Formats: sequence, structure tokens, C-alpha cells
Amino acid sequence: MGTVSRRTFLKLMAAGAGAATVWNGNLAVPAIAAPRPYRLKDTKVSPSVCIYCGVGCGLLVYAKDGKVINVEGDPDNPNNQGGLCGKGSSAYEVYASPRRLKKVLYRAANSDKWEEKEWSWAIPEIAKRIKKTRDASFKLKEGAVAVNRTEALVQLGGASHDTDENYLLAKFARALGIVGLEHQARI
Amino acid sequence: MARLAYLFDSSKCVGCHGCQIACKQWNQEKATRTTFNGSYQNPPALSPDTRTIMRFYENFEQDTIPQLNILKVQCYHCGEPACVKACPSGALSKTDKGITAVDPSKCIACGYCHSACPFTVPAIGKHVNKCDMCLSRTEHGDDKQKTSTPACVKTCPAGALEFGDRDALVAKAHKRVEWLKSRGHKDANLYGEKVLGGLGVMSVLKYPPASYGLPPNPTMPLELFVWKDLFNPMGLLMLVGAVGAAAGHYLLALRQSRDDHHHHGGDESKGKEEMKG
Repeated sequence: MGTVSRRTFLKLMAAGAGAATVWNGNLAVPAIAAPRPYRLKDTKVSPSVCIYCGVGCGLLVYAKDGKVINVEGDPDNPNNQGGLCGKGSSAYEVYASPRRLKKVLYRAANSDKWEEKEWSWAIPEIAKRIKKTRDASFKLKEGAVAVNRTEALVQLGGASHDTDENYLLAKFARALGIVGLEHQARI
Repeated sequence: MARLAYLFDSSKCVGCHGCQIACKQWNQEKATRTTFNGSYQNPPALSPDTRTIMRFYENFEQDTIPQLNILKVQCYHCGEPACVKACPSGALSKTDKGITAVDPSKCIACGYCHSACPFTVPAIGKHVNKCDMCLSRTEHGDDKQKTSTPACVKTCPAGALEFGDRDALVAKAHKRVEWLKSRGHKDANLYGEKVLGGLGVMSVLKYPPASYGLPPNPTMPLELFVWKDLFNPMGLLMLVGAVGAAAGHYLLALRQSRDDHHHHGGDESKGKEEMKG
């Protein structure tokens, strides 16, 4: 018996291949899908506040190796209790977007180009211009009434400023004599 | 193990797209460039880069009560999933908690799941892409930070999405449907409690399912039954038969050749010698 003829060998090969094919796709063989690794393992969590509207939803920022990897709602925050709207859900993009601005962009009057500038140039420049406009437009009196104000400047607050920041900003604006205090949420 | 599910309440949904963005953000899928198509629905359909969308069905015809029906569309995690049955490579499977899970590394992108799905949900790019109910979150997440709930459910600011034990959600949904009926929505219904072995994502609807583009009675496709429940076992049987027949033939042939050897052995060798000569 010992020898297997060529024909029998081929037959057995075909039968084996066929059985393997059916076996692989058969329901009797349970498929176990491996879950994707959990992204938030070994991350550092820090609470933050959403940068968009005035609601001020709480965020949880997850960082790994010094880089933000995920941002989602903070369930402990009474404003949103873990929820976030379409804009808030994309808060991670504020950090990760390739279009994020990382330098000061300056467009000079009558220019059609934006130039990159340093903060060390921008802040003194802003201060210089505020001072110039304020000094030029400051009014001590309106008729006989003492007003001590400037009507050439307004201040625009942001929605994500907190109470203390708003207090300081308002105080600063009043000190300059600004009477137009506006808010981003109303424009 | 109790079955996990989530409930979408279209009467609470405000259509903010928060769930879509949270899904993309968590699953690290890229945004697709789309154009305005006359509705708030965007992107227009599920794709290899989109696992969930809000579908908007607007009905603002004259002399009718205006309707803005919103449906969250993603994998419905059927109790008896047609996609898992159709999948030839084992990339799709059902977990013990009733989640239809995906293993993209096993996927061969044949597209059978897409054709088999009664809702045509799975999208095929380089591999299958569909909702896995944030399997890694539900398995490893932290309850306190709510990272154990799917990203879309956690982010919903309107409370239209709820996640948890399926039986508890069904009871809750029935109460909500009763409440909607008492407020005059006589067609209010719960979609997906019984169909296809019970869906893992159920929807509370104010109007009949057809107004949300849902099939009222989705069923497993017939060809899938014919293929997997008739042809596959029959094929297996035939294979066993073929192997048996081959073995039988081999044994018979062996016996025959032995017999031949006994009876005609001498003649054969004689013939050969004659040929040589």
C-alpha cells in the first residue's frame, strides 16, 4: 500500500483546500474582533473651558507624552454635564489644526498682505496706538458737563472670559475713558 | 451579560451635529469637503470617513403642519446581524454585550456586509468602516469621566441620546412614546424593539418610520439565507461526500489493482518483455 498515486494525491489536495475554504467562512467558527486599543490609557487629564460661545462648557483635555490627544466634555461641569455641541466637540482641532495661528499676523493700513510679527513687537505697538488715539480724542467736557471720556475707542469682550477677567477688562477700559463696552456674543 | 444599547429620541434632538463631530474626533477620521445641497444634512451620506450622520427630512408644504424630522443614522447593532452572517473573513462579529464589532485588519473589503445590511450601513473603503459603539470606550472607559459611554452619546447636549442596559432603555422609551401620544403625536412609536432580533440602537419617532426613511419591517435578505443557511451547509455536506467517495474509490481501486495483480500479473510482465524484444 505505502505509495500514493499522483491522482489520489491531487484529489486529497483539492479536498483539503475545499474544506479549508468552507471552514474559514463557516458560521461554526466564531470570529473574534480585536477591539482597538483604548486611546485614553495612561493619559493626564486636565479640566478646561470651551473657547467658543458664552455658555462656557467644561472640557476635559487628555494629554499623553506632553501632547493633547483628545478633548471631550466634563461631566462634573454644571453647564454642560459632559455634553458638547458641534463646535465644542471639535475643540481638539483648535490644538491640532494645521491652520491654527501660532504667530501674530499684521496687516498694515491700506495693505493687502498679512505679515508675520513677534509678540514683542505687537503688544507695545497696540499700547502705542491706544495711547495715541485716546490722547487725540479724549474729551474733558461735553458742554458744561465734565465727562472725561473717549468716543474713538471701544472695547470688545470675549465669551470665554471669566468673571475676574471681565472685571479687570472693564476696569481697564473705564480707566482709559472708554464708554463703548461690547461683547462678542452680541455682534 | 446584559445587552448594551443606546436610544435615540428624535423628539428631543435639536440637530446640532455634535454627535457627528464627536464621532469623527474620537475615531480620528478625516473631514470630507462637501457642498451645500439644500438641507442641513451634511455630510450627505455615510462614507469610509463617516460613521454617523444626522439625516434631515424636511416637510414644509403648504397647509400642513411643518415637520423637521431628524434621524441619527449609524450601525444599528442588530440582534441578528446580517453583516456578521455575510462576512466571509471574520472581520465583523458580535460581542457578548450585543455590540457588532469590527476588526479592520481582517477585512478584505469585499462589500458583502454593505449589500447584506437592511440599512446599507457599512461603508467600504480600504476596509469596512462602521460604528462599533465605541467598543474600546465601553470596555475600558472610566464611569466618572463618562469615557465609558460612546462618544456621540456623551456629547449630546439635548439629551436625545442615552446609553445603557437595553431592557431599561426599552422601558424608558415606551414611557416617552406614551408621553408623546398624550401630547397629540398619535403616530409616535419606538423603532427597533423587535425587528432583526432587536436593534442595539433604538429610535423614538414622532411620525411613522417611513417619514424618517426607515424600512418599517426590515428583514434579513433572502439571498443571505439561501447562501449561508442552505448552500453553505450543503456544500460542506457535498465536500464530506466527495472526500468519502474519493476515499471509497481509492480503497476499491486498490483492491481492484491487487486483484489484477494476482490474476493478470504474469501476463502483463510477459507483454512488457515482448515489447522490449
